[in-house]
Amino acid sequence: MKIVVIVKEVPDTEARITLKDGQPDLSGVKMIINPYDEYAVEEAIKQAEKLGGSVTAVMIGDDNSRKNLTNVLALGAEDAVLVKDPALSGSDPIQLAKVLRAAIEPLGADMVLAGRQGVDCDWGMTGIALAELMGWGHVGLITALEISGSSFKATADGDNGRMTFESSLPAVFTTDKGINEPRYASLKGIMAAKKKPVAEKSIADLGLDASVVGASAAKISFVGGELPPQKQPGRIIDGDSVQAKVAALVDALRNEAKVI
Amino acid sequence: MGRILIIAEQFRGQLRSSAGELASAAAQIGGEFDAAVFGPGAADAAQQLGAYGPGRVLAVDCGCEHSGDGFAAAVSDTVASGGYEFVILMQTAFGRDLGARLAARLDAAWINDVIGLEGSGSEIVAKKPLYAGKVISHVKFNTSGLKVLSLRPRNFDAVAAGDGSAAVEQLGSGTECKARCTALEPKEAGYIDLKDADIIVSGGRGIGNAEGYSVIRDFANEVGAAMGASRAIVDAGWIDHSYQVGQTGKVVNPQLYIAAGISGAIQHLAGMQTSKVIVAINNTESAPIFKVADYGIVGDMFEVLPELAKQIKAARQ
Repeated sequence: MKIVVIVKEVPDTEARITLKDGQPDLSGVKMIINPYDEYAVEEAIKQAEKLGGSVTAVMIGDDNSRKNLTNVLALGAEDAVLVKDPALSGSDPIQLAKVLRAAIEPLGADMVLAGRQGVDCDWGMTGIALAELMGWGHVGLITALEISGSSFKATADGDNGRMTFESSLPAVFTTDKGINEPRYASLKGIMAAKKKPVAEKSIADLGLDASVVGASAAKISFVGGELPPQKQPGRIIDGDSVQAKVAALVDALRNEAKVI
Repeated sequence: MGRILIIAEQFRGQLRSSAGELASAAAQIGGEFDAAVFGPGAADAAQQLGAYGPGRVLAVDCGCEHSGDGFAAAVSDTVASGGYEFVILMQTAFGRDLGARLAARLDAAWINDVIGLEGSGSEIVAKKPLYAGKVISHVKFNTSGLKVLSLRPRNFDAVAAGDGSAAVEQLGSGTECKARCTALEPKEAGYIDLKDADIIVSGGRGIGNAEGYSVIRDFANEVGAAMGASRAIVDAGWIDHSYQVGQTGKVVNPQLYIAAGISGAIQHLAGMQTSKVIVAINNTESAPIFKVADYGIVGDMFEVLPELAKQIKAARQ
């Protein structure tokens, strides 16, 4: 079983993000592996351990991405592909899905795992678009996955309840939190990761023309931004007893805020 | 300016009220719009869609509950040849799956999770939160071709349904679905979804342990609220992730959000700060949650919540 897991870097979820000239200013912000991708990595490694096979991590990143990618290798991925090219700057998510397809198709994967969305732009579309571009099925928001031969059974939380999908590989799965408990890297894993191969690929290496990626070919552009309106601190409701405080709160919710 | 296709949502033949939000966004962009619904019961729900005044109404049923690839395949020729410039869906599990599929399949532009639109027609600018709402970006389309956008629920003022009707066109039979839903376990009766809720009550570490969540559950049952949770108690294993509100959970937008025993980490605030009114209950007066709360009570949530439920019920009588 050949499993590919897509990972990306996002700003630390605890980071404060400000604007500079209308664009998010990420200078000095710590980058981490996208939290939802951690579940994809764990699931990929778990499935490879269970079924036999290997995991290749694929990332679109930059010169600073090696550290986080090495951490994925330390968890148990065999090797990695790091796509980096200055031409990618400003690409839209469908362009990036095309780049990922070009990076992943030569790997001969039986399945691809990725997080449900990156918690930066929250596009939530890369895995789905990749499946469409490769002509594969996809199940999103999965909370359980069983593979048996070339068949799979996946459980996902849908809008109307819990859905079970049964079909055959190859397929793309995008993971939700709750599917597993991501492991920590062992010391042995960390040592081994240093020797694991990371193939760096440019756009040209993937057989793509630089004119199809980047801001000039993107179908959308970020033209500005704003910080959300800051909530003014409200008031602490005082009272002699719990009953009195709650009575004052209910009065405010009903007559001032008019929400009950 | 091309036509607009709104993709509404339905369950077992009952149209979701978000159809009014989709019609509202279509009206702002301007021009002629058509409408579609998918899945078992689509034909019945399509009849109800006529009331919003679309030109064409499409009912797409591939014979399974859900299939992103099947749904996209069933409708893509119609979208490609129907003179459409915009497809608008909701940012739900269904909408994200179908929207991303269609955008990739038809090489369209894609903007998701839109909370507002400025301008009209092809030059429209979409407001989209980044980093779970820490920043609101302004995004424009660079193409005269097809544009797909999904709306964050409860951010557009719903257009009321009229009394119109439309002839329904059926699509989808014989579609091959690669990944398809073979069984659905519906949510329990009376379940209130976080994204649909007018009132949400969320618990954090202040509940003390997994059993302590019953104070949240009791309040929710008494008042008719949806239940939420902070990341801390999800990571501690006290409650399922489907309840988590915040950057790696649900982003919610209720009329009233009650945070009980939640300190107010940035990643939690990112998921609930657009709530109309925020109430914080915490026994630590310096908790950051009080900085974003409209009203705060410093006190023991195990005393305050039951009393609050009692008094809200009394006030409603």
